[in-house]
Amino acid sequence: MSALRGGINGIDSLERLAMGDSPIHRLHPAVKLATTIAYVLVVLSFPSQNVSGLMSFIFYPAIVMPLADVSYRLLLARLAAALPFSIFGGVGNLILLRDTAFVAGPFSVTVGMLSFVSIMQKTLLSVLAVLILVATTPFADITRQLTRLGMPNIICLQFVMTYRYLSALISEAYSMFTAYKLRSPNTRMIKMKDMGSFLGQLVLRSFDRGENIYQAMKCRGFLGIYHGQATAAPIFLDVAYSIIFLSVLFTLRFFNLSLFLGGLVK
Amino acid sequence: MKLGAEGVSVKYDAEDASHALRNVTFSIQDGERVALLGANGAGKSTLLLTLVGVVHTESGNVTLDDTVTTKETLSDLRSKVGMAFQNPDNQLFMPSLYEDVAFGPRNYGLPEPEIASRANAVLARLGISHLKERMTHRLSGGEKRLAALAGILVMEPSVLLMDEPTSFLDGRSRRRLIEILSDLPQAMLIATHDIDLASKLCDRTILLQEGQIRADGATKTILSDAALIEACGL
Repeated sequence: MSALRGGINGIDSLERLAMGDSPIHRLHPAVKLATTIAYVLVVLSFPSQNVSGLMSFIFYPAIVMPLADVSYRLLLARLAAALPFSIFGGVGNLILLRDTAFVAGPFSVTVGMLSFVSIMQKTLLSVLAVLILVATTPFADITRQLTRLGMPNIICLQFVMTYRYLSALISEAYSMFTAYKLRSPNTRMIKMKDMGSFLGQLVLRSFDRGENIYQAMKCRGFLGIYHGQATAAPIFLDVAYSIIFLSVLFTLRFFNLSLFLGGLVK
Repeated sequence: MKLGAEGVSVKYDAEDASHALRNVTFSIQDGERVALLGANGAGKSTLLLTLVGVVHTESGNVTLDDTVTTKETLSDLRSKVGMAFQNPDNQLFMPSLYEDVAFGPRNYGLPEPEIASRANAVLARLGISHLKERMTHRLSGGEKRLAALAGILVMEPSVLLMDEPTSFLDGRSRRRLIEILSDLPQAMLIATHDIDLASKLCDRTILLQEGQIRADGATKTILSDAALIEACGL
């Protein structure tokens, strides 16, 4: 029950964060979206064993998160949800790629280990970048900018509606689970024998709820195009931020700062 | 503004012989407040949804100022006829109250300053300006009802259709809602089981039974006919 309630609260807390007021929140949504996409693409473009090159990319969350005043705890908790998938994906490399890449003292580091760490780094950095975007930009603004970038309206609408219906689905599940628990003493989870009808009912109720919401939208003039709040044109600060951000990003892509700093320490 | 139904019949299932609405004819004049009474399943919600073109008629027409509404004029109809649903949760789906109130005007392409001015005025009129930035699903039952009403009133409709407006409300919120509704200039069609609400707010009552109009007249007269009320399952 508390996990479902936590799900609703999680959506709430990200939306509340997105309505904040900080220098990062005030940046134009298009700038934040474009820089996030560029960051993710650059991070993903690194070769699979370039662990040191990716290290310097921590600069983005390290600088932007305090500036945006977003909770580390909240974003790291969301990030933790994505990590098992990359662990699952990377563990195969750990087993299969056993050639030695280099020897560090008594330890021999295999190609698989480097590949595994690199996958983890890429997941951590790219998911964190997306979470920072969501935590500093209202979801409606993000989809609006995606439409402006040429994404078909129908796909953007799917994003918006899925995001909105998610709360409806969770609250339906929460009510049903509460009712189930109240009539099933000494039961912590739904019994397998009841799971089929529970999920079936949940789907039917979600359809009903979705249908009702859609009818309410139609009654208020909705014709399949989602109109968010219009955003002002980018200003000098937005352009300056983009130029500085992209310069740093591409410099770090082709200049290994970690190796350079390591060399200085030696 | 005159909203009407002319011989409207509605069937949900083509295979099923029974009708949700059968040959319903009536009209509401400018500023008139009409109660729509009927037992559960009498067709009250279906009638309201038909009047805003969400449910399609099997036969008959919905008219606005004596002009038959068509698929092409639906958008115009919905800008003039506002519908408040029975469960306000179904109506509130934007993240914040302000965004939700602005949803309708944005669909009609109103400029942002005009939307802001209308939304702020409506929120102030309903006494919920302080909840403007609140997450919609964090509102109480009474606040949700007012929030849903704000989303309708911001469109400045001429007719309000309300489905069970006092359901889910405590006594205080109910009294407040009745006060607010009685101050509104719009024509209203209020589907309700709440006989007290009907007698306080509406001069005219339409009584529905099994999808048909059983009586249409002065609220006082209809509500004083105990046998009729009993026969209609109220």
